[in-house]
Amino acid sequence: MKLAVLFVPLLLSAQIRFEDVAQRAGLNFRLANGAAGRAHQVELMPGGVAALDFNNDGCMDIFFTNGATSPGLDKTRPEYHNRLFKNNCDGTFTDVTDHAGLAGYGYSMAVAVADYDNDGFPDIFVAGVDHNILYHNLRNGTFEDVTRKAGLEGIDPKYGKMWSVSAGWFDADNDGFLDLFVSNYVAWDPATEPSCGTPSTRLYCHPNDYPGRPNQLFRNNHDGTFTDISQSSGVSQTIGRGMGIAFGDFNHDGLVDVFVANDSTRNLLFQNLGGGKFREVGLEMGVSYGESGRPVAGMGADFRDYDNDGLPDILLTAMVNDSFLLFHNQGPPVFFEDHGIRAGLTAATRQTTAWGLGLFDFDNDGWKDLFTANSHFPYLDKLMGLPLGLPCSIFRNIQGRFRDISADAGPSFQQAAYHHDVAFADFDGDGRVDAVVTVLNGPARLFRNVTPDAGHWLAIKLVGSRSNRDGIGAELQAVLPDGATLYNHATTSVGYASSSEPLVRFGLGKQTEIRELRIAWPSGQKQVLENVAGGRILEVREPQAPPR
Amino acid sequence: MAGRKNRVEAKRGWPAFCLAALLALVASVAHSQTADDLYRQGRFADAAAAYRQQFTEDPRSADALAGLGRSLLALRRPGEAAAVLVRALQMRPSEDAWKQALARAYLDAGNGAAAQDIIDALFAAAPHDPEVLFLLGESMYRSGFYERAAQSLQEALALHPDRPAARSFYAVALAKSGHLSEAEAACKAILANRDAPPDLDVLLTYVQILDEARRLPEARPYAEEAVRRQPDNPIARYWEARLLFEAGQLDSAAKEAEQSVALSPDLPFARNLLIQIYRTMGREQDALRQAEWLRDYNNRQATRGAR
Repeated sequence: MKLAVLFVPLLLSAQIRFEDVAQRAGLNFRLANGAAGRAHQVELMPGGVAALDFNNDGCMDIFFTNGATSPGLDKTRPEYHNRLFKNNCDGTFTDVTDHAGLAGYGYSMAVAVADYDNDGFPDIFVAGVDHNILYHNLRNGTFEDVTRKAGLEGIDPKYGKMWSVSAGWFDADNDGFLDLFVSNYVAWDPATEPSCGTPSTRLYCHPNDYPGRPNQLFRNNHDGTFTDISQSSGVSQTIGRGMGIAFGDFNHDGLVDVFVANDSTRNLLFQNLGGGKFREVGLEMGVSYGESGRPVAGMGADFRDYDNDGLPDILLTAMVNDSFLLFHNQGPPVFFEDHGIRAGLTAATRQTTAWGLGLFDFDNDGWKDLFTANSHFPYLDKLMGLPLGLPCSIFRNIQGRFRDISADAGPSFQQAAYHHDVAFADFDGDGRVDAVVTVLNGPARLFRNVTPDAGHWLAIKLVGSRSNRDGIGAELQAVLPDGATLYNHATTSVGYASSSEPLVRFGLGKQTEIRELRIAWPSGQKQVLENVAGGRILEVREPQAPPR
Repeated sequence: MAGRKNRVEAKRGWPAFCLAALLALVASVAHSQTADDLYRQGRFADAAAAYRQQFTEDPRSADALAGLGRSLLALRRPGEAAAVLVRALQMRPSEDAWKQALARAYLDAGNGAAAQDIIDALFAAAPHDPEVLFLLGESMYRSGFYERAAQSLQEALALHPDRPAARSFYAVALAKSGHLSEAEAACKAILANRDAPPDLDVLLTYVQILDEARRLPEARPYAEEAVRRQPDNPIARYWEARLLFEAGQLDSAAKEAEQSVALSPDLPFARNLLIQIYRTMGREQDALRQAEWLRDYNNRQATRGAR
């Protein structure tokens, strides 16, 4: 497996560039956290965003979550509504929230998109403070709130209402239906919330001032309802301060595992044992802590193979002085080791606070690059006298080492803002991955990828039959004509509180086709396609029966 | 009649009072000169005693209190120094030099918030004063805001380059804020000066820079020098262990890491390194024991940090 790295040459040297086209595209969304100077903890955390094709017209749309009044959690005023923007397939977007019935209620945090009922249309789960919402896509441009019917209010039998900050869909038991994992942050009650700073200058408290909460796992019952198996699965046995969720099969046993970044608490890795059981193995697998041996303010996470060795790695963003952590998957028996220094990320990210992130091949050279949405925590300006807003960052992956090339990524990319979350998709259908970024109390940004001389590409739209309809969890290998092998897997759970396109992408560099495309479906089926031409979105349907 | 008598007595007593006051003043000046001389000579304990005596004889002498405060500060008794300097400043609030001394005392005593309040006020009044910039830089450094620390120290060093401690802070702040090439140059400049042995922090920072640049063979001699100079320094041992580990010398690396942990059980990064070494050696049970220790330690820290 390791030899594959040797066969993947540096295919191109395109300069990755982005252009903020949000205004031009009519993407007029402002994330409002409702802060009124009293520094309630919930105000720090919102801003999940999703890339989805809700109407199956082939163009990726955008759904934004939004805050509410604080601490009242009242969403009735329009500036707090969640928003759905329909992609008009011509570079512009139209706000269709009201027609779709997605304005929401309560203080929303995160969004997770997938087709949980296998009807071919993506559904939307919104996680929030004390309330979660499941919207079923009615296939006519509107959605129905089915939260109660589905049993996904998220109220824990022991802890009651939860403050959920991220969620993700995956097929925990490979039964062909997607299950839901929800990460919960801390216990929060405005009536008993600790007060930090001085009466005249309130500061946000440290997360350790609040008791942590367990995560939750909901099993899909195949009939539109879910069963809370947090306890029986073992997921709720570990208390954390959950943030971003990412899925990957780290030990290639065919069962998707779950990584949860935690804020100021050790990270968690739930190994999927099958049969609806999980075991938290972060310590023994080496992902609880980085080189420093102490917990970081973990934010978003991605669980992908960044060095093309066939094993999914874990990357998480963190706060200033933490540095991002890059857990390289070494294979058995130890599996993970912090390679932040070796990959050039530790020093480069030491002064950065980042929230959302994604490992995508932005220049289509065959190596997944890193995009991060950056901004410091609000209190840091009082302590540091530095602006809170930061530009986003783009790190180019050069054969497994990352180089910060943000300064050359275009003028609009340099603009500082209070960037929070990010979702990735090819919104303009040109084969280059774009990014939509939320900005706390500011206008969202749509970074169109305008990289000149980007490589060739292929995007695969999976259609499961025995597996879940979106093929979430499928592992793909692309063998190029020159023998190089690239790896990726299907997931929408990327970064922090956000959801990206379900397509599986490969940058092909100078190659125009894939010699062999191998797909391992969650059902266990293997499928091989030969001589697959690039430059398109290829729909691949899972065979109904296992091929002989 | 009685009133006139009192006035006469008072008139008779006036020369005596004047003489006594004059003598006290002379004595105070003499003490002051002695105390100041002692302070200038670096005899801080004697200076502190002299200032204390001076203040006993003249409780209105803010100068004596301030001198005592500065002497205590030089004696590395920052908590006592701060208390004395606060009293001096209550008597004469406009003395910026004393405020700087008080800020320094708070910094050395670990009371960063109190120091920062004073430094902010000093900085607002004199944003280009090198002493204030040094204080600001050090305060930012100690608070972990390395980028800002490096900025302030750079400006201060441009005005007053001959400040070894500030140069050390600057070099380390550059490294910690990710400016590795500038940090390397700053460390090299310090290490090149053979007149004075470099700050161990600078030496180890240089090792870290070389490690992060993956120039491991270059780093080894500096790590070894750090261990030679301070064999009981757990961080020097940690870097030695780490470089040995990177070089694949697992047994030696384990010994050094174990030594580091023995010297300072509460170093999470040393524990983490030990876990990696044990795992690579196949000592899974030892690794797990260390991992559990680390988990419990971090849990304790979190509980301690919480309200």
